[in-house]
Amino acid sequence: MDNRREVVKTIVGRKTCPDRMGLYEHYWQDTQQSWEEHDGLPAGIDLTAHFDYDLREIEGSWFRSESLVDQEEVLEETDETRVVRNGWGATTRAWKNKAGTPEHLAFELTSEDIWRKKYREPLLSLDTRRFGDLDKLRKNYTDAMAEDRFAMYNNVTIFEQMRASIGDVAMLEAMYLNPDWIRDYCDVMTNHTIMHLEYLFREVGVPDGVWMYEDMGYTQAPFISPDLQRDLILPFHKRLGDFIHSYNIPWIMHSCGKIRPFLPAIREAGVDCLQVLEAKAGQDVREFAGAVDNSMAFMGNLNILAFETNDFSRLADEIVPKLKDISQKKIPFVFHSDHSIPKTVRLDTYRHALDLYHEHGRY
Amino acid sequence: MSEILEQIATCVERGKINAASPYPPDMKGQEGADELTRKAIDGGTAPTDILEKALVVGMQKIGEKFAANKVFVPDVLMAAKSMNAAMAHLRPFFQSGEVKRKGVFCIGTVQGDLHDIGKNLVSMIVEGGGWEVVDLGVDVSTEKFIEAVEQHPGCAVGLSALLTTTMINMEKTVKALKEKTPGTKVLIGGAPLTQEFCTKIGADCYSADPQGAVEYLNKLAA
Repeated sequence: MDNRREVVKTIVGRKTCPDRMGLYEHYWQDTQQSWEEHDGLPAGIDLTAHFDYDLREIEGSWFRSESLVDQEEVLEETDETRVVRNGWGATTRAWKNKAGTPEHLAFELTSEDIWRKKYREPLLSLDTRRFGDLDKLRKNYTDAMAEDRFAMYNNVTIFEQMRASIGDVAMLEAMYLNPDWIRDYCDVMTNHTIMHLEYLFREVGVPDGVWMYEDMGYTQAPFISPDLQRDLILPFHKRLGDFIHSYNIPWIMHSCGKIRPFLPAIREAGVDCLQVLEAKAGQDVREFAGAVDNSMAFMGNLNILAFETNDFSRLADEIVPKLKDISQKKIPFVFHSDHSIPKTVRLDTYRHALDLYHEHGRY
Repeated sequence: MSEILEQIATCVERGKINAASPYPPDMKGQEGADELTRKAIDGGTAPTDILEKALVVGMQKIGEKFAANKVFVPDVLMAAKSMNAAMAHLRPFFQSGEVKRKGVFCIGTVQGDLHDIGKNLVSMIVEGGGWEVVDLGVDVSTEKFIEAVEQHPGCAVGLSALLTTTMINMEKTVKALKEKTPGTKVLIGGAPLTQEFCTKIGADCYSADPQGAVEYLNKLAA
């Protein structure tokens, strides 16, 4: 099958296998620059086109979810970092020019009382200020739909939204101390996401799929128990999934960490493709696929630590047996590392990984 | 162990902070670690016993369950909150020297990395294990780790990293610590780390979970 869009629609949408696996990737912020400086990558190129990926996240489709949309302020800035207080009253420090997760400095939204007094109400109605330049997005959408790739809108959903607004500690404690607040938060934020996606679908266009970031685990385990996830999170994932499916398009969920215990609930929520299946968290796409009888598609699981050795033989040991099994077991699969390519992976190493994909990534 | 120490240990393990706390639902309305610790001190229980036979025991149990994936992060947070409620009553005894901790553990996220959740969980459980924790924060330079060791002679050091790109900074820090402060024990942890990496960079202990760190530290203190 030569048509890239159709390859992904077959794998992710219909959970069946065309003649080859899909291909996609993400990078840490400073990887492309490092490849330009050290490995001869031409400056400023579009990596999606350069490596001929099958999927593209449409630039500008991400809308802002913080409650007070016009109240973000930079509190401090150095050559290296920037401290920002966002529209949730959350203060974080992040690197300006290199990869990494932000430091959580302070959160204002730490109780139901503050939620109801200050942050809940602005989330109840559509606010077009949450979108960037819609004319530019329309152009990006038109361009993306015109090229032969599976084009997606992207954003975050409730677990990620909670972490960014309430902070890990207050959020996880509130799940035990005040679960009704968490339910209300998830209800409001899910409706908010649906309302704004609906606007984009109507005013810009319906993409081929929706990509949602939703980190629910760390290396050793999920952040919360499967029972708690089922109680507090699943009903809202289902609502979002039903909405996306009402447009006859699939949704892809990204989650870091060890989330295997959530797999039944993720499937129940109607997630069509689960990404990124961190191998270093002891997860294996072949086991995931077996557990759901190949009824979902998967993307990722190729251990970035093997890429980082820059040793072609160790890279092949990681990639080739997995691709052979995936092919033999007819697992609907998109080739992708188990998170993002860091600058410690040399361009030649990544190219070799792609060579292995082209050689073995066939059904 | 006396009945009240057992009760305090249970409150810490189950995350029962005080009588007003609605969690856990099956202990609603009951006294928590806060009230029971006050009661134990007023009743003449030695503060050292409260620390060692109640708080450390409760935190050890939750740490073991966490390591076995039988409980999750919110359970550890609730246990730490309960322990802190009890610790508030013990503070004067730490200050007077009547109660002593097992040692000092200086912990930080290595240079280049701003991530702190894992470090904070380790801090909570190590503190609950009877250690004084000095939290050096995130993006901690090698020099700052060395300064901390100089300020707290004999302390153990914990290095945390989230990213594969920052874990390489651990090697530099471990090497410098071993050169400048020989004998300092260095523990490492974080998402991308392995025992193989620990051995390669010359650190003393790798633990995939906070309880492993406590167990290693307790062996040092024994």
